Amino acid sequence: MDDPDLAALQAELLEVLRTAETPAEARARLRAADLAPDLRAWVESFDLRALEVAMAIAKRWVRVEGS
Amino acid sequence: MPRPLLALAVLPEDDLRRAQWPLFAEGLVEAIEWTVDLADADVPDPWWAPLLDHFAARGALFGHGVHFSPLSAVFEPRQREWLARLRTALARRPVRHLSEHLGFMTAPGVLRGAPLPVPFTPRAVAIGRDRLDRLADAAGAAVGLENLALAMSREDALAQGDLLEALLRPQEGFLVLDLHNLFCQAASFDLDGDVLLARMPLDRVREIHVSGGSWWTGAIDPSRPFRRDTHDGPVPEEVFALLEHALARCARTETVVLERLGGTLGEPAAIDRYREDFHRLRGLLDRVSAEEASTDG
Repeated sequence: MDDPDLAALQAELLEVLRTAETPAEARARLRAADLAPDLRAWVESFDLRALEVAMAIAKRWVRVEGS
Repeated sequence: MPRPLLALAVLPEDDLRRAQWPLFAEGLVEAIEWTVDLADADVPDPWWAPLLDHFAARGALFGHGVHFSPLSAVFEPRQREWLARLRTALARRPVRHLSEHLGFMTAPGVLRGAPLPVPFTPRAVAIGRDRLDRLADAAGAAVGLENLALAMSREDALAQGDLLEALLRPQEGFLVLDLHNLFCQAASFDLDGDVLLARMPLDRVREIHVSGGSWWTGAIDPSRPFRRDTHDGPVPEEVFALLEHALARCARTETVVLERLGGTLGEPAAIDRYREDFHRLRGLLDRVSAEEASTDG
């Protein structure tokens, strides 16, 4: 089984964490994304410090096809 | 409760082998955490293979997965292949049980990553339960999840115990209680470690992880460093304290694992400290078990 709404959030989150230059930019991009209401509420709750750490982790570890 | 087995996490790097080998040679290591992702790694005749066989034969080999990504919302061919390799590996070398990490690390088009949090929502719970069913089917053994170090907010950290319970309940799965991960959340969000501990489904704990990590200072608020689970330092005092508290509350704990990343023990002093941590854990397990036995008796 898959969940398309959760999948959309996960894809967006990975892309934003990997490519955003600042936590503020990451938060703005995530807030602008087309997300299901329950998932949007979660994104709205993000702590900026946690977002900053998540970005560091993603930039260190995430590898996408073709990279 | 029976005294939990003291285990080491075995990885390929030479510095870790140098640090661990005397402990194995003295017969002090009672179990092994085996990273099952390495089962078919391109390593000819790995040094740890005879050890894995030895501990598997004694029922003291504990499997631990890294790259399955049990909360990924799309079940990908990559994960299907991972499960097939797992099935093959465990047919050859059975484990006492198998665990993975809470969170997701990949999505379509993303080949690898590190575990990231998911929201505690019915849709995430449904995905996680489905993946645990698949994991249990492939493993042919009890399966469990490890609590995550990273949380996206204080509320996320406080909710993680309930999320784990919701995921594990249908499968009667177990919790790998990683105390350094718990310490990371407590330290990063100004929470009491014992409060977080109490919010975990402690009756499901069969395995406890102990490790060190590092402090990370970001630009958002340099006065409040974030604790990260980098497995590259000694075990903090706070984690030893949490271990005492956890052992008193987790009656089904079968093993306590000392984890350390290879390539982080370059200096002799680091190796000495690693072995000191091991001996301290051993003493702590002996003492706690003896105290419980005297109380029970």
